[in-house]
Amino acid sequence: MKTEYATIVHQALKESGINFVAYLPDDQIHDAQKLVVEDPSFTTVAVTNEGEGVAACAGAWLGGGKPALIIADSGLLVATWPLASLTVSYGIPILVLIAHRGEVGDRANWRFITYKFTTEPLLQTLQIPYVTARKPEETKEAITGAQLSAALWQHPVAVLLSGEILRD
Amino acid sequence: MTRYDCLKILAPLLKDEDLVVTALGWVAGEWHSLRPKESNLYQINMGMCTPLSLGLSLVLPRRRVVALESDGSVLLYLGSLATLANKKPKNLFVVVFDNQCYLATGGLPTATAGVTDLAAMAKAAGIVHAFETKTLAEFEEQARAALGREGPTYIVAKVEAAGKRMSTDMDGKESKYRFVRYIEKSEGIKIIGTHAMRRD
Repeated sequence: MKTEYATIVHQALKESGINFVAYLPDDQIHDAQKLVVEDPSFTTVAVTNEGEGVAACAGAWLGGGKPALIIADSGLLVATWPLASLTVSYGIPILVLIAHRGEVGDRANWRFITYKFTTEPLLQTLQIPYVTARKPEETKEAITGAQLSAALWQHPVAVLLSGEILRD
Repeated sequence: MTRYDCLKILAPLLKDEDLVVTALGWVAGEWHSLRPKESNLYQINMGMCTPLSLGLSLVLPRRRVVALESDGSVLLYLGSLATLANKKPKNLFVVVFDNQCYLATGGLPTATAGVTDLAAMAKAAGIVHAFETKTLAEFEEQARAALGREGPTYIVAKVEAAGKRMSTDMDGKESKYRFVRYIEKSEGIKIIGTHAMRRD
């Protein structure tokens, strides 16, 4: 992710009121994760697996924080159990920001076709609404809108970052 | 010793405003019968009680947070020991009731019935104040010490495979609303908003 694009993501999170971030580093999103970690206005938790991150975000919301989980497609697969049994069942709003690879035309290798088949169907199955941002100019609106809906619905909402916004 | 015996010791040591998060299983009903406060959050599913309590303790650093965990739950997300150790929340106290089995789902053994030592694992993860207790006197001593110190404390209480089939008589959503409304009231903040703010 280009520094200027990482800045867009970071600023959009701030504008959304997000003040707690759980994350597990991943190639395409680590620049944005780094900006968040270095910003003292966020409480951040580096988790060892993404399911743990969902639970930490849920606890943060219950205590009055505004949490986001910043992960990759693989992390969404790992996080399904807590997303289903905690955030969806209880109705706990967390913003799930996913660096999404494997779209047609993406410069990703054979491994990433998995995520073409898993990420969106999984979100649909889990009943987690989502929006996709591919262009830098779409990204802020996608993030702020997803956070607004999450808060109003008391439900997790995801943003898929894909295409140009992820490129180096 | 039983978990219920330990809970009977713990309940009067806590202040009303101390936040308590319970794992799934009969521990929720047992705790509710002894301390039915709004500051309790019940029945957090397998693996999530400790990381959820960590998130809660980080956003409310002036409140005491107590997690009532189980061995089966901790074993599902062992990585959370490392996360807890590195974040070092001053206000979090985790009690793991280690009955060495999956009691509520039929009683088959967990790894701690074999060679696994959760207190040693917690210590090796970097939680300095990690202890195993085998008697009620040890449990009380460690619980009092935990509530009197800054820094995370992790107590593994070795208990009998016995529980009281008690219920909180509320589902997870009711427990959530009850807890969140209590946090709003006690912290003077708004968590649940039902109307969109102007965004222009």
